[in-house]
Amino acid sequence: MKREHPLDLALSIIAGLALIAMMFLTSLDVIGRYFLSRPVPGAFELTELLLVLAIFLAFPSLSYSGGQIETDALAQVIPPRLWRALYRIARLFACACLAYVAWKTWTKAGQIAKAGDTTSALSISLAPFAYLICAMTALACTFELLRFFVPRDGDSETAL
Amino acid sequence: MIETLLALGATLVLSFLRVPLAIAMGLIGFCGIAFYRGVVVAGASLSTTFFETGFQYTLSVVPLFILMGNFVARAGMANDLYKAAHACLGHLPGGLAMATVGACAGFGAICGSSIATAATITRVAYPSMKRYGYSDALATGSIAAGGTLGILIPPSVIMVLYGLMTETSIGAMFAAGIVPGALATLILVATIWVWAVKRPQVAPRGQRQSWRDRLIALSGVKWVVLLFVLVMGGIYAGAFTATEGAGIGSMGGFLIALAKRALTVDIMIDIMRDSARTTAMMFSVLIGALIFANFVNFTAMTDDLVGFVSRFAIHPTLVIVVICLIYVLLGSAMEELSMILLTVPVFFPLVKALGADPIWFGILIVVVVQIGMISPPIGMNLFVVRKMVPTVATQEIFKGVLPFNLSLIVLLALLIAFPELATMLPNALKLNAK
Repeated sequence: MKREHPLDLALSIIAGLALIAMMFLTSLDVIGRYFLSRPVPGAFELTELLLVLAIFLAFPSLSYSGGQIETDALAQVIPPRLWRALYRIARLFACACLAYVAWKTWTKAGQIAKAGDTTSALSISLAPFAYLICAMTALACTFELLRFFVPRDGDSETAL
Repeated sequence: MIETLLALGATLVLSFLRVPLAIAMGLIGFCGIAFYRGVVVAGASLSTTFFETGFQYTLSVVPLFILMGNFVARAGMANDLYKAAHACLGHLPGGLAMATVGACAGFGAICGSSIATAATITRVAYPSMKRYGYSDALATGSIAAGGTLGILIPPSVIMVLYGLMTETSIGAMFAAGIVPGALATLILVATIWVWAVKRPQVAPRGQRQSWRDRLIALSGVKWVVLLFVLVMGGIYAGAFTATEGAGIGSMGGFLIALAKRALTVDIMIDIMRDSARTTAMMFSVLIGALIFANFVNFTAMTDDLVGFVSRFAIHPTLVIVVICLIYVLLGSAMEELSMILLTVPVFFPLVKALGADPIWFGILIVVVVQIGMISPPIGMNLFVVRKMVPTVATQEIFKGVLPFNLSLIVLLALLIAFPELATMLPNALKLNAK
């Protein structure tokens, strides 16, 4: 059975709630527009903010529970020990790449905060969302490092 | 051209060495941009891609269709579909397998994912085929192959992603999928018929049901029809955009699941968690592919390819055939979603320069993905079916999908020979202008 880390599960569920909110928001907007001639104000930009929440809150989960798309094409060809070693090397590799992304998004988030960017209709500050992207990338990076030391269950299994 | 090919090769090598595809694509794309414009520009472009992909309204169509698929998968609608298809087709040679494909087609009309379709239909169709003594090869093969109808019959997540990447109208893509989807269903059913007639022992005949029973069973699919008409009708009639259609569709799926008392707190949590993770997975691949596409735009790849094709006066159809061949081969070794996102930036400009219809090419790509999803050894749908019926040997599943693989290749050939199959409906509905 899957063992789920509470943090991993909580973040995924909050991301899922953002999706549900998107669903209600879009439906209300359409219904409001057609039947009450009153669309939801700022529905467009609220959807964008919810999308950021939905994508990036669930992003670390991919690193924690191995949800990223990987190729198993050589699983039968490469000796199992080397195959497992490759898994660990790939984790370090992913960790380094995500660390770089976290650094770059941190810089970008800083620019957004300094410029005081907001959404156009509702004037919601964008900085917290920008920092969230950065924080979640950093968390994913940490999870990759964790998986270097503690490979996830069933890692040696191959797809077919 | 050499740079792009090297980059594609490097991405493949990294992914074969177990680096997640999203990271492999993003890294190679980043290095490529750094090579042309320096590390500072590459870094800035990287973070911009991250932010712009997140903060983009039109992209919300992707998670909303994923959510809709997860709701309808839990709403018990697959059961209704299978009962109806069983009542109508069950007495024919291979009738239960035909009913499986029919239920997949119906389910594909409210679900945009072939994996969700295959997984959901396995749950209802496999036990029934097993009970009637169907061979495992035919049972699992028809489910895996039928499941791929999920992405050919609209809505379709693959069509959405293709539309977003190439700026092709999603509504037009959806309309274009209907005729090929119906044709694919017929071809799969015909394959089953031939198989069952040649080897009656693999598919014992079921009983013919009375028209009264059939009508009762058919009335069970009213929710499916209602949801399809609401979402697709709304998009085609121009009442709402594809994004809004996805929102309405997921809401409809949610309400139907609620009305059928299929939602408990646990199931709700499952749906939210799975939808969010699938969303994050797709977007990470999308972001990686967009960074890679940025790099391809810096190279002269498209001009080189177009120049090559015109210098040797290669017939456009031959180019399409070669591209499809590359896809079918690549698809048997690579995960399909990443394959499409990685290669569309390279091939699409070429196809467009040759004067081919982008909508038609999109449908070809969907069929190629279908073939890849049931191609041994790493087809995604085979993996799904294998996971859900662990008692069946992998070799049996491989054996079972082979005839369907061939019949989908026939479908691909038909689509290349007669592009009208894909283009006539969007043209008739005048959806191209959007």
